[in-house]
Amino acid sequence: MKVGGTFYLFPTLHNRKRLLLISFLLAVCVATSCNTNLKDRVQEPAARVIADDSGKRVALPPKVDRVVSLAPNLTEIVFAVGGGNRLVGDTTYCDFPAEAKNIAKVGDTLQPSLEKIIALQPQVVLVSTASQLEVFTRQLQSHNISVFVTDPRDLDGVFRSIEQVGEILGETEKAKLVVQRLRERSTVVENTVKSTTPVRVFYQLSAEPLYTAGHDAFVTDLIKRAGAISVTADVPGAWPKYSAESALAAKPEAIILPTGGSMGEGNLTVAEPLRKSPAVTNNRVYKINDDHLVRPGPRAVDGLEEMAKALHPEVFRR
Amino acid sequence: MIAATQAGAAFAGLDSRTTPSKTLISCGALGLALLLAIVVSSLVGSEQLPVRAALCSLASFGSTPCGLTSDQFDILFQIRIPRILLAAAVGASLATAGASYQSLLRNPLAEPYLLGISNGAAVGTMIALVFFGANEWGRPVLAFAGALVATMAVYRLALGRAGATPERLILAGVIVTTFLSSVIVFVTTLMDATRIRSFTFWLLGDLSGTSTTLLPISIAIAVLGTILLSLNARSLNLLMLGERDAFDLGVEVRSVRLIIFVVASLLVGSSVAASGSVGYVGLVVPHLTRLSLGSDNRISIPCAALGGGLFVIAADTVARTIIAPRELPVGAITALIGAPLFIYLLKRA
Amino acid sequence: MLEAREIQVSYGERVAVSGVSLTLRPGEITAVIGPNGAGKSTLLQSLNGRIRPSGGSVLLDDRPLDQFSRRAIAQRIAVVAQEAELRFPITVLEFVLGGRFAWATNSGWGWESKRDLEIARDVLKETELTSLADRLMTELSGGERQRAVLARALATEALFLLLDEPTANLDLSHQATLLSLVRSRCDRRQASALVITHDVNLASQFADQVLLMKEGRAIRHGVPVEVLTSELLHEVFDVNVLVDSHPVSGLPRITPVHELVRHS
Repeated sequence: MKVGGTFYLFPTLHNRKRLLLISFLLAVCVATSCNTNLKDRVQEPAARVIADDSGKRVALPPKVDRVVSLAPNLTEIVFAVGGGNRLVGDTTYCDFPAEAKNIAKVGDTLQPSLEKIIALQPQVVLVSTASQLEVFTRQLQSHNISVFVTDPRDLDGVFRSIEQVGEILGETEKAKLVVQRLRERSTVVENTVKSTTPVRVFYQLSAEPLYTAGHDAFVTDLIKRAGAISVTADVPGAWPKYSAESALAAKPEAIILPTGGSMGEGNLTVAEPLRKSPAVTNNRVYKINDDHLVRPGPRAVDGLEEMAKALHPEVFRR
Repeated sequence: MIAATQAGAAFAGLDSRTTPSKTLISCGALGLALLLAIVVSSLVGSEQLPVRAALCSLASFGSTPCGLTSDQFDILFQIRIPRILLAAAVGASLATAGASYQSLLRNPLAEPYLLGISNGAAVGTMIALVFFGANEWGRPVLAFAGALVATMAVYRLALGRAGATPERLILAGVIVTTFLSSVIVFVTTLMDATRIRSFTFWLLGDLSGTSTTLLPISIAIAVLGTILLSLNARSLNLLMLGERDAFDLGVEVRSVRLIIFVVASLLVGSSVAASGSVGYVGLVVPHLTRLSLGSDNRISIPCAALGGGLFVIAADTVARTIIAPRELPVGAITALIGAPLFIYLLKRA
Repeated sequence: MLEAREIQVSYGERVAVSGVSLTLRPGEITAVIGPNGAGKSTLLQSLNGRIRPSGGSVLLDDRPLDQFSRRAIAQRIAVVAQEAELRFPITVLEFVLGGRFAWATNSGWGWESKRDLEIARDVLKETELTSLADRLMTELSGGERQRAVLARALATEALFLLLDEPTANLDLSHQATLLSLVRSRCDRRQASALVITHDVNLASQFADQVLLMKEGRAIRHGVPVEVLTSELLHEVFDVNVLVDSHPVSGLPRITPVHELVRHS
């Protein structure tokens, strides 16, 4: 066997032994490098590390071509920053924009199918804290799929999420633009309502049983920015089941009924204890697309505008 | 348990049997306790009411506000009282159904949930909600139908050569109830996220959806059911000793069994339609009644009704005040109280 | 009179009782003996209506049994069987009072009358259970419990008593006591009793009539000395017996003869 010209430098007596040794070493090298290639085929050298909202530092390849989203708001954000063509999988609830419906479905937000996700070979999976984190993070990581957790609690959190997704997808400029525009719009709203008296609002998630938005709900922040106070803003938790008495005693001036989006056609009637409230008496019951209110994504600003216009029509009349 | 029964026997007087006077005294005492519970419970809630004004208004049966504001009046008479009355009706219904089943099946563990009847009623209610959502009457009617179908299924499943023995009935009941449980879970997973939340809450027992149209029905059924079951109390006493003995001693076993099944299904159906599955009431309350007052159904059925009402009122009061203004499902409280209590009762036996 | 005429009871293919006729007359005790599977219990159960015969008829006071209501039958016919498991605490008095159900004026509910209590107390005295009246049934011994079951049957004031192996788990003294109670009830009130028993000697002592059954058929029916012969007993039980006269009572005494095979 000829390997370069060195072979001929060796004395003929040891030719065969050397031959065997070198071919053996070569074989080992090839074998090990083959193994390494199989495992690390997807893993390019980890060029970037970004901290996610759970505090973890997530390793990401320099270029992300394949991403899976496990929450409707994240899907909307991905499309907003121009990464829609790189979205290879999303959940059954992801329905906006329209193209999101055609993306391969990996299950729902709470119980996505690990198999399906792995089969799509994404580089990153975007997760909102609603999912079951621990169990599948480890599994996905063993397949060299990074898991990036976002946890937007308020509108500023949404802006941050947009920027994070932009960075992940290498669309930082686009993301900045999107955030800038959204910020402009929300600032306009907040400035417009600054002069008004905050309206006391009850957010009715469902009438029977009576559920409302608590302190930790995303929409509570939007309500505040829309020039209103949620009467349940101090109730611990995100979606508490609320006492009928307290709802009656709260006497809200306006009631928000989230409906028409993912919630479907339900929640069109005001709950019984609120029927005599000032909100109902003065006909200040507003139906707003729930997807604009509970998805921490770009359309949250739509929701903010809709609420503000409904609650303070007088200052928006232009 | 023996000591307690003898103490109970001592209470009865010179001889150990259950007498009409003993029954009247016990029912009277429990009835008063129930009334007291209704009053006390209506004074507490997530919103504070002025006690004196509230008492005054209650005493007048809502004819005068006695100084309560219009909101406070509404809270008292439109939210609290109906809910408390529903709690009493649900508690009475479930307790008497449980007591009757335990006597009929000669098994102290027989209970509407275990026998698949609660789940049958729940499935019926779910069908009503999905297909007849707007119509309120759909729920109790279909819940009753569901409970009845489940009972019949259990009975047919349990029929063997020797008839449907209590053991086979319990076994069949467990099969049916677990099957229906998975049906319920399956249907729940098909629902969207928001509906799941409200359904899970309801399945655990929720009295917050008190409907003013259906409340009189629930109360009427609870009262009617208790009366009908009490009218068969003596037959049940004999059935408790075995169907053969009861038959030989003159009990029309078949018709009594049919009546118990139908009436109990009605009771369970109306409770589940109104408030979901409130567990442990049908198990713990009859146990307590039998322990303290003896196994004679003539006293234990009416007293279980009153005791059941008390139990659920107490549990619901906790459910709606402990993390006010938020609420817990009443079924969670009855389980939290009921399970350890039951373990304690088992140990004493 | 309680009369069975050519009773036929079959369960599908299996014939449990075939062509048995029997009359229970006032004051008489009839013993029913036979090997397991002879159809004795089935016969008893067709006499009180628990089992419907597929052929033949049962007549109570010359009327077919199915014309009577459950309650009416219970007032006239009482059963003493192996007592079912007691799963709920009940006192002896309450247990015995159960026998008064058939006489309740309100079906299914209502309270025991003064007369009911009187009868219960009498019956407890008759069965010597007065001192145990307020004890729980579970506290009683086997013999005492069986007496309580008899007491309940006696409390029904039924004139026809059907007893299915009432002495099965009783020791010698209790066996005799129980059957003496039945005997005295039959004598004093002209009641009649049907007693299924494995103990042929007991049958010989107490019975006026003996019915020997095998495989659902009546082999012989008559007075003890007629029925309890070594030939008939051998035919039915496939056992060698020696039948002689009891030295005290003069009634047939049956002693099984077992062949002991000794190996050398």
